[in-house]
Amino acid sequence: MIVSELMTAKVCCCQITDSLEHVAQLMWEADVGALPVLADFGRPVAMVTDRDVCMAAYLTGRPLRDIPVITAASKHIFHVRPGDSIESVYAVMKMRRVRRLPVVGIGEHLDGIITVMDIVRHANELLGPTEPLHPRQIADALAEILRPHDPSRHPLAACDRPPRVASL
Amino acid sequence: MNVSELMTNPVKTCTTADNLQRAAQIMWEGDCGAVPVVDGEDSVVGMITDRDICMAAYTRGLALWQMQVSDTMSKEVHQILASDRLEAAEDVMKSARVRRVPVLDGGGRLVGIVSMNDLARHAQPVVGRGHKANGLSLGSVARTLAAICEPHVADGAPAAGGEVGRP
Repeated sequence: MIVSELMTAKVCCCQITDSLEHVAQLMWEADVGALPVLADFGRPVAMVTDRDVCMAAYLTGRPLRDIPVITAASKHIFHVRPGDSIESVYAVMKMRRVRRLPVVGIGEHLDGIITVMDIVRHANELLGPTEPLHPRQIADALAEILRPHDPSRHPLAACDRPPRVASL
Repeated sequence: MNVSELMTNPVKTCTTADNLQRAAQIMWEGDCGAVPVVDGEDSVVGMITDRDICMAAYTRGLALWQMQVSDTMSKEVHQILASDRLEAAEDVMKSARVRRVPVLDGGGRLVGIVSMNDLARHAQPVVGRGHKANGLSLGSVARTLAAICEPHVADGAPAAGGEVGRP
């Protein structure tokens, strides 16, 4: 089984020039928790999650309309190709400890997105006699991916700690 | 295996009197995405997630310090007992489609939180037919994850966002 068979092809995206208000609106309307950020010619250059939005609002102390998406998004992103095997996707997710990967096709365009949940949902098929993905591999990968992250990796982590605000 | 052996304890909490800036600070410092909301006696009156805060900031257009936890939290809380088996935690997560469940002691006080990630990290692949190393098989965890991750059906509006109305 290859990436293009499991990925979601119709992906909700935002543009590099958007504010976090627009990003949150897209997340609200599409009921998703993460969006690829596209630059010129539809090339994915970053990923932004609902947690990134929350933490940017916390770290800057400002309303979302005043925060550009690019200050909150993760710019070190990894991608896979539509023809890659599911095993190789697992290897990337495990090594990089990410749950979602953009799928990049011809011309560096975004073709889709694949998540660890796409793979978990199809675990039974993947565990069938025709596929070599071993349960131990899935368990190891899940454990690695779900291990708590280092918060200092957040793009705004280098900011000064915002002042503690007393309850209203 | 009981919930008490796997749960995170002590658990970070906030109160209904906190604002969202304080709730986000707790999530940032504790590197967690969901915090139980407690009243004076350590009983849980709600849950608040990073997504709830994100959506409140969007729907209301305010900075976090201008909004209250009590207006944003979800008040429907699913809880389990520390003495419950792990399978009970799995059942709650599956039926309520939540990834984190507050854990109470016999007196109804909050003593921890258990997450889908905790279950996934401790799940064992089935070794041979029918054998389970610690009561939770990988296949069972995969099914729970899949159930939680089913898209929410709510006439186009997402379930997240607590009590916040659509703008």
